[in-house]
Amino acid sequence: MTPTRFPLPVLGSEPSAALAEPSAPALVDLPDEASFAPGRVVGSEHGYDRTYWRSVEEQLHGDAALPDRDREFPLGAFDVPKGFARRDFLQLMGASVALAGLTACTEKPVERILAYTKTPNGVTPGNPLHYATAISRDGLAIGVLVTSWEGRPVKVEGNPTHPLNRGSTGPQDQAELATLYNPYRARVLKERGAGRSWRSFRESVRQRAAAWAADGGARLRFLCEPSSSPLLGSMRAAIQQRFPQARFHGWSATPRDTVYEGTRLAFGQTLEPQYAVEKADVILSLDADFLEARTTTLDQNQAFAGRRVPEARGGMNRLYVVEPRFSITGAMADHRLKHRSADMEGFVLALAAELGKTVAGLGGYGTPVGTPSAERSKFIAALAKDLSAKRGACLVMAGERQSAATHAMVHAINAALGNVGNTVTYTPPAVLDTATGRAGWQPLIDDLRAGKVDTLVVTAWNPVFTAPADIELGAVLKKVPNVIYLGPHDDETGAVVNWFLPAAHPFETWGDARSRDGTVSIVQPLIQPLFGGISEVELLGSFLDGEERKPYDRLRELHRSKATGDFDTEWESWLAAGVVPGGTLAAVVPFVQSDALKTALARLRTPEPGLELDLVADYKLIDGRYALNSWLQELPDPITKLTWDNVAQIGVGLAKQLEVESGDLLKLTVGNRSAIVPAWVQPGQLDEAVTVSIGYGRKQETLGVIWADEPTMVGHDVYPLRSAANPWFATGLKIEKTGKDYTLSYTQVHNTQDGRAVALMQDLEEYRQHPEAPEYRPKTNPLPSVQPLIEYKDQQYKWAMAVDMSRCTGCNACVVACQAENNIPVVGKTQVRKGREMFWIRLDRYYTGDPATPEMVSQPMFCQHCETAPCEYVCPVNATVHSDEGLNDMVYNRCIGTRYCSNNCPYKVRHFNYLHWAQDKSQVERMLMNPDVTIRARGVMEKCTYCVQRIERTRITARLENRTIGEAELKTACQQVCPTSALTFGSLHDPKSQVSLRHADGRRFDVLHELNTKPRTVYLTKIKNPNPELA
Amino acid sequence: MPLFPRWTNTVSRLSGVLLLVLPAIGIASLMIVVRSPWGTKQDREVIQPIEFDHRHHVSDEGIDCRYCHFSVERSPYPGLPSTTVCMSCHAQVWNKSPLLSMVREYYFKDRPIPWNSVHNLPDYVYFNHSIHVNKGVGCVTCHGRVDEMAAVNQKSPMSMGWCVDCHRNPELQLRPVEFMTSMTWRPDPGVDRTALGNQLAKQYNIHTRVACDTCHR
Repeated sequence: MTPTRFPLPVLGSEPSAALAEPSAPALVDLPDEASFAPGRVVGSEHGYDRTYWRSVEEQLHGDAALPDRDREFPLGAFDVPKGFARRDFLQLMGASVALAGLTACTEKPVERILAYTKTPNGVTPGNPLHYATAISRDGLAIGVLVTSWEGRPVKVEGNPTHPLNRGSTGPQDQAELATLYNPYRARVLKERGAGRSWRSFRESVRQRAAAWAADGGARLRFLCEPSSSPLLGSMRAAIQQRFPQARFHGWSATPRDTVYEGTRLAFGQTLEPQYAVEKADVILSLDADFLEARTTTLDQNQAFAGRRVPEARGGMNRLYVVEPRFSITGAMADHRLKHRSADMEGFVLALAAELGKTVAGLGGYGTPVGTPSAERSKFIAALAKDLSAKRGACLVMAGERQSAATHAMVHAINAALGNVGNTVTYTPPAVLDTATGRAGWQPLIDDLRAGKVDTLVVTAWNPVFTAPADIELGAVLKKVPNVIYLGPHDDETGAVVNWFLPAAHPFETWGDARSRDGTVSIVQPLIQPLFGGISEVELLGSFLDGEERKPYDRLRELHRSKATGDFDTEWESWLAAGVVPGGTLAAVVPFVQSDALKTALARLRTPEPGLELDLVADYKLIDGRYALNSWLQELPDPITKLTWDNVAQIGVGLAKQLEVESGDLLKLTVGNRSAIVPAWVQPGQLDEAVTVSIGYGRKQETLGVIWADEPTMVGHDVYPLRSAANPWFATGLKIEKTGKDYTLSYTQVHNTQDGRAVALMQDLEEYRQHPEAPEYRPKTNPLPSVQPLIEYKDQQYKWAMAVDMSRCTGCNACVVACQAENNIPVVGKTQVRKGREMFWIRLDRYYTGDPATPEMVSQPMFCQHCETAPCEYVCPVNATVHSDEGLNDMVYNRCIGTRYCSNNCPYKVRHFNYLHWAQDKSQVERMLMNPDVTIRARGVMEKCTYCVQRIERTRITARLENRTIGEAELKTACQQVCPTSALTFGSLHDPKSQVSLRHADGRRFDVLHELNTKPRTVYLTKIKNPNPELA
Repeated sequence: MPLFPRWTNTVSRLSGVLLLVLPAIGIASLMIVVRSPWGTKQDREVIQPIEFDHRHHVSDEGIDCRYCHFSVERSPYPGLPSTTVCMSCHAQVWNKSPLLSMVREYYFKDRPIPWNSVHNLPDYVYFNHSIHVNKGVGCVTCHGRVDEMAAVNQKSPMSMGWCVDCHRNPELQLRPVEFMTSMTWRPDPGVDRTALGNQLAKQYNIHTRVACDTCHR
């Protein structure tokens, strides 16, 4: 009686269309976006001079624009789906009423319990295990702990013992599991479209190896994904030894080349700068978006946030940002200067000249070109004075998009200011290839064009898609006799290669990785390859002599020499801790080669004036590799709050000049290449520059994906605008209006806020003298209520949260973490337009000030767990009640979907399952679900639960050991991932806990205090530290 | 002349009464049915793929519950024995019996035995065994005399009301933890059950919760 179905991943041969909106009814013709934008311009709040507003439409058009000012739900939210006549509707309703009574009478089908044949070691069914591994991005790694339920990974957490990220992770790291369990991943090894076996591939390589042996591999090339893996490094060395004439090249769509070229130019050696941001009192960022929670800069997030509060030891730091677009780092800046990327070299030379008046060693680096604006001169004067006053405790950083010359000057400035050894140190690079941009692959392209290569092995991600248009990589590859591509999808590159190998996900393979500071971690797999994927190690192994060896064996052999005692014991300890000791790179003390630098700077050309195109790595998809990750596609962009799309961000002034509105399709042309992208009027965007994210615009057919009811592409491909000479920016941009419209889905204008003090922001001095927050606090401003006051004294725990908006960068890591932990569904672009996005955390972004140069505050908003919750007393079936410990419980099985609770919630943090998002999930997608959290069906309301499943598990563990829950052992999902420790959770009964301290903080206020909801989640005012000379 | 014939008075009164009484009877009977053994699946026969007789293994052989249900003290799930646990004896004892041929077949094919769940709480209920057994709730309290069952059936109603009754008055159901798996434990003669329960509740630091999030998340 062998069972016919297993809950284990026995996979069907075709992926379901579950990636699309499941069973969404036919689309309604939605009205244009104007009807979605709220009309109210928010006036001054109590005692504040700031005016907060939500979008440019509000600010610019005011009351006149829009008829739906007070409309809570956008038009179309309640429309009956098209194609559904009234008579059918009534018939169906009648039938369902009749049937509804009968469904309760049918028996629940018998559930099976499938026990192990042999229980694996260490596994207790029902209790998760955590395995340490590492995730790499741009070749640099962080340590993570992956929660695994009986061999099924379900959640990614940061590894607290890893020195780089110390327990935090970014949005992409949180979404890695959605990539792992993506049913559209490639499964079949192909040669020219026909399925082949791994053995036949190895055989083909072996046959060609004879020819390579003859000429030392002169016709063999490798195009590699950036990596710092010691194992891959050793295999490359072995291949190089076998075929001395073979070459390895690096390829990345987001190269960090200029970082290394900058140090080469400045110091004469290739180095990796390591920033100790916590030691800096003043920070200048030249387009360095270090506060984006990218894997490579997570340590800088925590370091920055630690000095971002008024009570920080050493005082609050000050951040200056110079950039063409409005970035996350720009939003955290105390002072921000809009500046073209092309003019950045001029800026840094002007800064050096200004600094040179008071600081030795910065003279003679060349005169800045062009006529600087008065605004820029004033900025530089104040900036230079501030930096000069903080020698040794300041930091200048340049972003990866900037030129090597800018980087080199930044190093010279840091050296002159005495920062080397304090706020910045230098180590050898941890990566295997320091050239993954043009310097890395141009020699290869030349060889390919010259016909010098017969076999090219590509492990870089999708180079044909990400290649600058002018090198025409697709055509070049088609001429190469044998191209082998290892990729997660049979994509644009797979279409032109001979051999396509489906790549295994890093969570399915053995390997190792290094982080930026050199720390080595072993990458251990969490699950067997779901789709028979192949790892890079195995692929490179096929180019070596001898028998096929498992990556695990190669890995152990490589690291055996590192053990000081018994290797097996130490190996286990490395796997358990996630860190192999002894990998940290030693600091180097370099000296500025001023003469060489000056010679190089003399060769700089004056940039052309005019409109500049700025290409940026997307905050969610990065270079496009996450295009099939629905979590990241639906994640609202931190600044524009757009979902499922990319746009051309244009400045307010330019928009007015060109008479362009958000949603107008524009044709952007650089040289002889163009792309069509919808416009987005972005406050804070430089008028002389247009910013577009790369990575979008993949064609459905290429990916074999069907997004039901969506257009054939998600977003717009701007890689055609990329040139080999400069991947990041180009002058001479021309904009044409196509006269067509494009509908965008964004979350920023849903849920209008009236003129209330929702997100407070103050300058440091103002806060010290007149803190605003006490006005919005129960103790200082208690309000009367008809509801009886409950003291919550008798219970053991009094759960509460605190959000420090001074620390919050708006990176969105918490949103994805919450989605991963709580099985939150993805709804698709159309439903997001109707306001039905299901994220439990909503990152509100408020602008203040002039639209051209705004300031921004980010406020994560989720269920406040109000002690006198307005949602609780309106539920007709008592589905939402208050627990004895302060949680607002949401009981899904009682909920009948009246939505009265959401109606009454003033924070609008409740989300209703309008459609059955959880059905039609393929077997693979079901594996992504956290078994500790109910999967909600259609018709129930859901919201943040303070991670009640974690509270209950930790409570039981603590009660079994007869003790109370410690502060460090219970963290909500959002708190655990936050790179800046902005979120805190804990019990208010513990007066020494972080959350109690924050509840007592001078900056603490309750959002919408005047409604007397007594929320348990409190917020701390965002404090800015402006320079009095620039204010 | 009356407008309506007299007999319509009876119709009117009768229909009024029935309008009140019939829905009441209807709702009441539905409520009773749901709480009846038919509704709660109590005492219902569940056919298993392999006839495992607890009477033999527990009563005759004296095997403790935890030999097979190994994770009950550490995990929400008590755990079903892996086939290896069965074979740990049955590779030697009755190793050619036709009654055990399916066990051997599943073991050697490395396939899980598809047991049918008897105590099947709805998916929105999150019950944790470890906290209950470690705080003095015996196996027999909820599962009945499994050592006398030929095939396991559900002895308790397993309804929410039944659970909450104990959560409100745990002292009526407690026993010393050492007797967790005992099927026949009684308090010593002369010892009041409730008094013992109260003492154990204090000793084991029992604070049962009835907030919704205790079980529903």
